[in-house]
Amino acid sequence: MRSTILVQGSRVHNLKNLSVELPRDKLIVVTGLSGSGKSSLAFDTIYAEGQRRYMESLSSYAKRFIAQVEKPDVDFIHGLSPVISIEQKTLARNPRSTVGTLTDISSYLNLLFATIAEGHCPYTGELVPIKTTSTIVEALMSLPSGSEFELLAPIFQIYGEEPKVLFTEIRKQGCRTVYIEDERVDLTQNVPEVLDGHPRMFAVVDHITLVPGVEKQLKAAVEHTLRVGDSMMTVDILEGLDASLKSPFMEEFGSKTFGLVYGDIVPDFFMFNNPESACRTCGGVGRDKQTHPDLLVTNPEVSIREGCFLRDAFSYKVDQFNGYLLYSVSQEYGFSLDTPWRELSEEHRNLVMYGTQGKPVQLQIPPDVKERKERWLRWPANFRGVAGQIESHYRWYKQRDVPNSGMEAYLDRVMVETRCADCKGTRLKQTRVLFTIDGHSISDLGQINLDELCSNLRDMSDGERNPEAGRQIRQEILKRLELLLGIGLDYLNLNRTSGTLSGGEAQRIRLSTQIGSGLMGMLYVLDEPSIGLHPRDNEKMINTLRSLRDLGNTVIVVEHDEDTIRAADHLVELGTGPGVHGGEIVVSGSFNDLLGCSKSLTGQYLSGKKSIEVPSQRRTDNGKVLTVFGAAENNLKSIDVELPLGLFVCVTGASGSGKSTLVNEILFKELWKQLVDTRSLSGQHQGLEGIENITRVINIDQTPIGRNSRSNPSTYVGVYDLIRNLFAKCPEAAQRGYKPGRFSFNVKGGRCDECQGEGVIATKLYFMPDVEVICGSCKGQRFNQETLEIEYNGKTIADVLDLSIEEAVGFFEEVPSIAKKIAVLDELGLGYLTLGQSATTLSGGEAQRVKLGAELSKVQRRGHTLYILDEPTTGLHLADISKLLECLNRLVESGNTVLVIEHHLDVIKTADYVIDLGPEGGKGGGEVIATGTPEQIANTPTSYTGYYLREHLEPIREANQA
Amino acid sequence: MADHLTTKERFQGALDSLLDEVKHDQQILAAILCGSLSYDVVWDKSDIDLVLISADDKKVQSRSIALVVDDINVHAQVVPRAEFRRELESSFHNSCTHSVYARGSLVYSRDPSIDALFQRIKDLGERDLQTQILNSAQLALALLYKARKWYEVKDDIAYTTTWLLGTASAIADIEISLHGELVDRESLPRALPLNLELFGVIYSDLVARPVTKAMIEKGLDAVDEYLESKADLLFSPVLEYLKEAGGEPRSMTQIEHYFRRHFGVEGMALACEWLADIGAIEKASTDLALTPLSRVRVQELAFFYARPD
Repeated sequence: MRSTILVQGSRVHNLKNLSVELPRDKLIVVTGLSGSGKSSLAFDTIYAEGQRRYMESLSSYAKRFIAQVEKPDVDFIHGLSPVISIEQKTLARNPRSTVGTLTDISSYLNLLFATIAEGHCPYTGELVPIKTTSTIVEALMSLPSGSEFELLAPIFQIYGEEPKVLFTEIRKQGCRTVYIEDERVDLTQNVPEVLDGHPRMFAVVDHITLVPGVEKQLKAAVEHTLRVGDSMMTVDILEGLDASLKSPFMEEFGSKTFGLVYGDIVPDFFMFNNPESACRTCGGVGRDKQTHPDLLVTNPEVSIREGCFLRDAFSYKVDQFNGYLLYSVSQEYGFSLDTPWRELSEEHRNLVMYGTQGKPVQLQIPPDVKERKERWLRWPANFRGVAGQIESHYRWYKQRDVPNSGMEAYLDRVMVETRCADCKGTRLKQTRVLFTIDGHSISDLGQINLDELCSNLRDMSDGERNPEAGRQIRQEILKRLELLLGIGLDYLNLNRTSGTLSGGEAQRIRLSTQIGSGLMGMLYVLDEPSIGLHPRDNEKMINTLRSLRDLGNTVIVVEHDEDTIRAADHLVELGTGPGVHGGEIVVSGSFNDLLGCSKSLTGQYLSGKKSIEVPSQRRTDNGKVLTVFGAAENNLKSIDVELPLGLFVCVTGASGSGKSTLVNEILFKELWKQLVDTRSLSGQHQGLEGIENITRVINIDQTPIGRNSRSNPSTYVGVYDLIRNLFAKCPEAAQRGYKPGRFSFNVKGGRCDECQGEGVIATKLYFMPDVEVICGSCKGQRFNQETLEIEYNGKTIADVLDLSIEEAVGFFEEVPSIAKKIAVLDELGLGYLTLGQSATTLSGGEAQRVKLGAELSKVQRRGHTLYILDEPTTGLHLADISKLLECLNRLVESGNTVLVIEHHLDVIKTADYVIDLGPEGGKGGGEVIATGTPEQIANTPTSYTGYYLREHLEPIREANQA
Repeated sequence: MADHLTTKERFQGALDSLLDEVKHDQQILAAILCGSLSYDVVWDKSDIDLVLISADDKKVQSRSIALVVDDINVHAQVVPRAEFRRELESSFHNSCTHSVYARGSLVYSRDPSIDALFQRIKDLGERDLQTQILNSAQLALALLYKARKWYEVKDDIAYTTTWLLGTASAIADIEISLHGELVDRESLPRALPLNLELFGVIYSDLVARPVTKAMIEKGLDAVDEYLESKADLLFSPVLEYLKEAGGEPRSMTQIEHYFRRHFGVEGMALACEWLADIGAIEKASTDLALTPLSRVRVQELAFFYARPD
């Protein structure tokens, strides 16, 4: 059996006919500068070929259902095993996917609840026995022959709906009679319009007389009753049992007060992705839309008549019915439609928002109407309020259950997603949370941090129903939880939606499931698993990778992190530079080989020959601050945080300690609201002071710079327009009358008609990968022949788009407006990208740097801008980080503030000011542990960041002293 | 008459024979006789309509079977008890299903709960009665519109008469319902004595005498007057629904959705239009995008209630 994986002659992307031999069953780290070809080797060659060979073994039928992989451009690869890639991609935004469903722990928890949980009465909270249909039937069959009884199912009013909606539904399920408290109501008659409070209601599902041979009917009737009653039922014995015997029977049969019994509780009963169990209001996503006054009143400085409301929500038109109505409300309740919204009393604002709560208003005729509609005078009308009307529309839209993107877009403008008011975010019907183990409902357990859940499960009682089965299920859950805790995910909880996980967290969850599978002989390819990890958690991650290897697997990791590099059994560095300068093996061997290689940039940094310098002097702030008071969103413990301005500031802390919540959810959103769009809703906090000290806020995140292949770095930084102008001004172009639009592949005229400016034509094949063929007409150049006849300095527009940024800087040297903008990208280490490279091929880190480049190129001296960046070192080599820091410092030097969320100690150590949150993740976090210079943080004993920073700074300090 | 008696006896005999056999089938719990043998006169071409209620079992599904007993065809329907119960209890009373059972007779039962269920089938709830009236009133309006058009636009007396007779049939349903009785296929003869004057104009005269323009005009006006005078009663669910909105216009899509969901009634536009014509409600419009991707907004028909109570 081969002990190595041999890659021979790979020419994928920028790889230069690369050949390498990697040891099997080892932990291998592939490193190198950004753009040097690491991912091309690990993912696009080794993983792609492994995956393709696996696909080849499938039947044509199976292939139809699986996305196909293109054959990589490689001569051959020997020694491949089944391959699994665990990438950084964030997970699908499906709101039904949670940490619990991803890890399968939810399924086991559902099973645990179905097996050992105790059910409670919805009215009294007392215990309700859990039985099966058969045992319920058996109990009823034990009644004397000839007994008559009604099978009753408890029913509950649907949240936000009128009672008749419930009664119509109950009727459709075959129930003509209901009890409301003790009153018997025939649904063929008119039903009550309003129910006082939350009355106890039961539907009469069947009436049975015990006669010989009735058992089958009884079973069917019990099953149907349990369906109507959401797995809960009771019985009302009408005839056949003496009053003295009734009580003992009912006590034996069901709960103490109402004789309720739960039947056939199965795991699906607790599954929010099951329509039968999901909350009826939010459908199991735990979130629902609601109006929010801040969204609706976009201009509180003006009056209702002048248009204080968002136009989509309400506009006051005096001649329309609503105009009459609102005028009449204002007259009856004594306020003016001409008073600025902000100056209206709280009571009047609530009245306009939420209506008269059923109290009719007699219509009056506004004095300024064009046409007096006398017949409307004194008509009583119900005013539901601006927000009330929208919410009523929303409920109606949801009832119809017909998706309509126009309506969705409208609702997004006037409503905001918030925790579902019906299920309180539990995603489940209320009857499901009536089940508890040791007082915790399934939703409670999903809400607590994984470490707490783990200890809860360890201490959990076995229950009386199925203690042995319960123990086994708990063991299964604990096994999975321990894997998650082992890789530093203790701060997550099972209810956390997948879409809110960072790429790193999602990757680590996938990793834990792989370890849980216990497979051996596999080849795992991972992309920067250290991203987003505090140094404290990094060690856990490395141990996880080691255990994956020790199971008998080969683990290939694309990584820049020093600790991971040191932990590797074998290292491969690609280089020497990015893009065309890369694609070659610099080192393939041990850590010492790396340190000893003079060409290895990584080696030079790790051996200390090169390093990111600690600034000799920290900047002092500009005397102004931005202060957040009482930040309490998610796990933040009502903290006050002061952000000095004019500095390079780092927010640090363990994963889940609240960094992103503080910076993105509160600070950024509140500033955005105050400075840009009043409809932005920030996280919970008491106030933000010092906004007057900044003029702009810019969040440079990792979202793509464009959603389709027509966006590229040149369009994003705005040089493409300038380039097109240059071409249009060429004498030949001017003579032919070509305008700048001629040189755009998005516009008809200049672009190739065959491929519509794409350069390739994609053909969908049935069970083979989609084939992209270079367009035969333009040969991939995206423009038609006439356009390509125009040349600027000897290059056509297609040639220019093919230039790497590095080459383009030289080419446009004489056009400073272009050169200046793309030079910034080059300085950020993106010189290897081409000007026309499709946005869809850029990584999150590359996209973030393109955005940063665009900002740097237009940096202004006027005003004060706050730049926010979340982990900008993602995917960066130390050499690239060095360049990035230079650029960030330039922004600060220009009189702005840069605020970054970062774990990378080489970045933290260069900051002027650090805000450290923690001490732990999740509930154990959310406090400010330390603030000050990196040295001050390093001297704070309670700070984990301080501890690692001290270790990091100490050798530098000693070297400097020496 | 003797023939009828003989025929009836023959049919009854066939039914009894079949029931004798059925009683030995442990799976059959009850039998309900429907159709003319139950409540009307049978003749040679009749058949026996019988619903056989079976014990519940996963293997048993509802099915129609053509049986023959003593050379008489029996149209039998086997329905499991649970399904029968659900169908009966969930059907809006006075609907077609309900009417079939309500005119039937329970001819055999060994399940007392079916007896009890069958007992209350004839109780007509106010809400169900209202639904049936709304349905019939809507139909009457649709037929009246047709009759008016054929008379006023096409001047076709014969065809106008056909539509007018159809309208009379729908009004007969309304009259029967208003008297708290069950509607069936033969409502018209039953409704005649309930409103002799009206049915004289829109039914008896039209079928008994040569039809003239004057008779048609009188008939059409009589229907108009009848419907208008009872508009609040006939269309009270519509008025109530719009009143609840407190003056806010409800689009036709909303109205249709509501009545389909709560009353099982479709095609409310005509009723709303007519109510607006007589001033019971107001006509309005609301914005609508024709497709989810449309940027252009067109106006959708809408109505609102705006009358003093």
